[in-house]
Amino acid sequence: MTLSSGKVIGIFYAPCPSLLILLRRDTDAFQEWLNDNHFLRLVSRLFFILLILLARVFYFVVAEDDLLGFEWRRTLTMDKKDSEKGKIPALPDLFTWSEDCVRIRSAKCNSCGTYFFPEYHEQHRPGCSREGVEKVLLSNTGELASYTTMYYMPPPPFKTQGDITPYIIGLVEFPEGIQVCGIVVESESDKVEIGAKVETTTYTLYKDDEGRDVVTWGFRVLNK
Amino acid sequence: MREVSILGVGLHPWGKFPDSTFVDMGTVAIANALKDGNIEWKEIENVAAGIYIWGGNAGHLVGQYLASVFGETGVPITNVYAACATGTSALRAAYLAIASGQVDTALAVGCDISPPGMLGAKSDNPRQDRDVLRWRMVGMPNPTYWALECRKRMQKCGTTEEDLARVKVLLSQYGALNPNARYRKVYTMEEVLTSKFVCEPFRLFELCATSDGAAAVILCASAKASKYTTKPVRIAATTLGSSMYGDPTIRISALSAPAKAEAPLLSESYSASQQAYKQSGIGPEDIDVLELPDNSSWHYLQYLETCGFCGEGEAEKMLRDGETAIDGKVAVCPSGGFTSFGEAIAAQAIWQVVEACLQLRGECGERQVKGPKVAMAQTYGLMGNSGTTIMKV
Repeated sequence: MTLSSGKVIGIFYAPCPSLLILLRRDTDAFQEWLNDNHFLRLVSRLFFILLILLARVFYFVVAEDDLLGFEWRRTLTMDKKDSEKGKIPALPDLFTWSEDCVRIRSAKCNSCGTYFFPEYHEQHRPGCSREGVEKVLLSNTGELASYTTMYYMPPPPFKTQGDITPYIIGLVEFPEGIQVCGIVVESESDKVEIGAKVETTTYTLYKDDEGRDVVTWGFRVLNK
Repeated sequence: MREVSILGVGLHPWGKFPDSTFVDMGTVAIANALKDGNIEWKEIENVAAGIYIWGGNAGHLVGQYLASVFGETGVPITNVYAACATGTSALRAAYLAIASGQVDTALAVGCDISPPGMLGAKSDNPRQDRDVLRWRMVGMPNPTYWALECRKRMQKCGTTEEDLARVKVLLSQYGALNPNARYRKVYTMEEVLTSKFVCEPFRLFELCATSDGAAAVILCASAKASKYTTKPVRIAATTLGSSMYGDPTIRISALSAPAKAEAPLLSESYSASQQAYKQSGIGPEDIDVLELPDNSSWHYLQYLETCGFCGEGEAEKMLRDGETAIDGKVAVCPSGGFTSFGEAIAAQAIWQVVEACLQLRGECGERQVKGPKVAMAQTYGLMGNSGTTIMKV
């Protein structure tokens, strides 16, 4: 069994996704241009391998240890983080803090166009090849498609700091074409209506033993 | 495929029975069905049982546990689960065993003892079980899903709070006449409209409770039914439906739905009913009695549309005009519905078939519909499960 060069490059690229996007675009262009020139192809491949090695050195040595005094790694990973300012998600991989806002983690199948949430519960159109699924962050804002006010506390495993009723659950339609449910927070009740513009935020369910906020995603109605 | 008839039906009354086991209740239902069908246990050649999810390993082997009570005979036993459409799934398995010619008689049974309050999650791995996510991250009990859909309908079709209350008022009148119902009080509009909100726009009496109950039916090849009974009810079709891609319903367990509809709302139920119409050659206009899954007042209205009894947004008018009353165009839930019985997951679909059968046999006393010839039982289960059974005499 042999690894194709694509796979090898994939492995090299894996830790630095934003760089991967940049380089792949260039690679495609180069490949077309250099299609018949074997020497130049070799040179360009060596050039890319050198670039990748440099990137890896930068990523794991310079950025990791923040030798230059910048938060390099944050920039490189599109500001995606699993926790922020003493807040930790109640369950992982569902939303992320990105560029000062909270965004729901979804995935999209590039073959059939289906968006699904969470990213690990795959869904496709019948007959789809299921190839080319990529993780995406949904927009930070959407529109309220429906909502309900809850007057009874649900049973475990719903865990909160005491009784939070009445609370509002909203169904939010994102521009990507997917609707997602979540708790509506910090909103004036008369502003909660179908069609209202909302932004994704976090909602603190309870504090853990170390005093950190254990959070879920939530939606805040924006004032017009 | 051979035609199949229902020989006998049996129930254990619906309610809360803290001193009973699911085996106790299933035993009562089966004994009643055997007696009603004038058939001996030893003559049953196939058993299909609904899985009782709250009963551990025993609950997943309901058929075996019940067979041991009546005396094990070595016949095929299938235990099936399809959420609240479990009963139809069992009925269809029993039906197919006979229709295929493999056996002449079969039992379909379901029994359930609900845990108290709202139904919760059964596992703790979110990557496998969507229930974990909806409970832990959003706190979404089943009625929340229906409330979100109901709000959309109110916006789109102009459904009023009175319409939602009217469903309960009407069905409570029928439930009061049904000795097997759990709730037998007749409600007024004012009582319903002043009851507490559970999840707006739903008030307490506009949502069904969770109950304990058991139901059984004995099926037989129609050609051999006369050996046992003079009043067989023929099965015109019994189908199962699952969801279709692009269904805009925010489906229980899931936390997302497509924004753009590419399939009907409640597509699993649309699919099940359309299959049944096609197989039987019977359409909604031919149906005299309809037992639909009134988990909430929204379901009552939505299912009239989903199953083709009216056009989009016309269900409220049907209800207001009395077309769904016992003496209306189609008698909807003359049993009193889930609002009078409460859900008993594994049993309710078979109970609906039992009620429809009793109507066709003219044995419903004060709640009897006048001379019905065709009846339909429609079920709805979470995660895209549904079943339709059309019966005729």
